[in-house]
Amino acid sequence: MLTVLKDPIARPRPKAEDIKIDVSKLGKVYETKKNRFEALKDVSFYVQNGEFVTFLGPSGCGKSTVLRILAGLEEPSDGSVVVSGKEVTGPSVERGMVFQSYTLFPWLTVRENIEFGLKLKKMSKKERAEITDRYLKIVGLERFADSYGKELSGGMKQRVAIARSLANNPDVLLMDEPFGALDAQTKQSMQHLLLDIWKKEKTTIVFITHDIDEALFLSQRIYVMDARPGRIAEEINADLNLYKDNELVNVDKFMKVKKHIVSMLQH
Amino acid sequence: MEPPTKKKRPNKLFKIREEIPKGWYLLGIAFAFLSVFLIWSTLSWLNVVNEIFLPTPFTVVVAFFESIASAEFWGHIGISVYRVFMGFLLACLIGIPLGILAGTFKFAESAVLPLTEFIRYMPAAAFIPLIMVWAGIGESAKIMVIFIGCFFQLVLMVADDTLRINRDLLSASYTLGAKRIQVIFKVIVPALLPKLMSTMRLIMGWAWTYLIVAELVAANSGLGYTIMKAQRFLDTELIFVGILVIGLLGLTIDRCFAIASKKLFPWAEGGNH
Ligand SMILES: Nc1ncnc2c1ncn2[C@@H]1O[C@H](COP(=O)(O)OP(=O)(O)OP(=O)(O)O)[C@@H](O)[C@H]1O
Ligand SMILES: [Mg+2]
Repeated sequence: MLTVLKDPIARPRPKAEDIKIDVSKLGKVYETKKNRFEALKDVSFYVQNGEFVTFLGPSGCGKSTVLRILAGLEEPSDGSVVVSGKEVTGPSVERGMVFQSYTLFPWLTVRENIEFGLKLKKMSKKERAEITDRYLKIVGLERFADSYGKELSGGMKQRVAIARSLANNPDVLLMDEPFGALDAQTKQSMQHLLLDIWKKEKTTIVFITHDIDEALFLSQRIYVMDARPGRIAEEINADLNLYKDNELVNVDKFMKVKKHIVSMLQH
Repeated sequence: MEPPTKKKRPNKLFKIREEIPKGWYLLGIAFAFLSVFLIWSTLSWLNVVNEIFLPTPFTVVVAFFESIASAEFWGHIGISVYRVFMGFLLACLIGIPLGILAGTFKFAESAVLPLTEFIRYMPAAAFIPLIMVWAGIGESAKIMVIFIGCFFQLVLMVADDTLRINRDLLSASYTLGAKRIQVIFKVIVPALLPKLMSTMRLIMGWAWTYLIVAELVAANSGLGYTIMKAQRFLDTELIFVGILVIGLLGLTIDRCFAIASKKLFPWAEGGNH
């Protein structure tokens, strides 16, 4: 088997100054009245500047927990989380997040949603409008600028959520199964959109999914996780020139890697 | 080309949760009202029930118009509305912030909810004698009965509404740079508003119930008092008028709430009727 793996297994760890996110020996324990649940154990990984990394794993293996800790929404029980050279102690505008559930503020229009973070920054009206217009255009929602969330489809809502995060100009974009609830076609167009944005904006992206194809299509590197306790099972290099102009061109390699990941997840 | 054959669609009227034409809906309403009216008419006009107990619709209508033609009756309506609104407002002013706090901070929850849960099960009407000892039988006594009746329910319901706000909505606002205080005023409060409106609407109904309780026991003015007085003189039709007027007032206020919430929260999902 190892001959197959030579290629997909990741490269050696890069230089310190290229590392955006550095997590080491992360642990998370949920204590309830009756028992103690080890959601994460000894999770270590890194993400490079401008890299697109996905986390892949079965339901309940702690993917969301990792992301919420990265966002600063939850405290780790153990280990350290360093982003841009600073220890994470709480949420910050530097780490934008897109959630699996739709989190548009329903009382605000699409435009106002995108402006939300900019307003908190006390940015001038003119500047706000400029940025908002730019992102409305990027996600293709100019015509819906003044609509409320209830008038939008699921895909459109996630586009607003992405635009809202990006408008804040974060260093890192954390995405928790953002396309999980979308139909296949919408999902695909959202993936293309996201890749376009990533290439243009050069934001570092950490993306969670349990869809192997999605992980292979989007990311440069994949961390495969396993459950009980949640941990990283393997790191996989996905920067294999499998795609050209969003079309799969290297089917053999794709199948090899995919098979390998499937076996990892099943074992 | 052959004309498409018209297939008869299955009957839509009895589909689960399916919309029906407006006309049919109005028909349903008319049918319900008419049935009640018919049963009432037959029972009273055919003298199945003695007129002392059940006046005819005609007598009630006459009594109704006589009542609303008198300034005294409007005085009673005025004072009742005043009491309801004072008690209700007071409950809202204190209860809503407390409910929001209890739904936001665990510490506030521990201080507010268990106690409220406990008091809620004490019937407000049972407090009337106590209130009379404390506050006499003046206006403040009646307002207090309504306040007690509404307040504890309101706190619990608002706390629950607040707790139901999607946690990811709060998380999202944190990652967009909101500080704690901004999360409360820019996310929790606006997210809560439509729910709050329907909770207030419900509590308003309770306020009317407690008003009548208060006025039946100790008052010399107000709609509850007119009902009491009518009972004393066996003016059954006036009891009917009193109940009818309270019902109409309640309905009017309820419609106002519904319209206001449609106008104020056009973005809210789902039923606002
Ligand atoms: N607040 C909490 N209290 C107790 N246990 C929790 C809490 N949050 C998460 N868990 C547990 O931790 C484990 C990991 O949860 P997490 O949401 O990170 O999984 P996931 O990998 O994102 O799963 P999914 O793919 O279904 O979203 C689960 O078993 C869950 O039950
Ligand atoms: Mg998850």
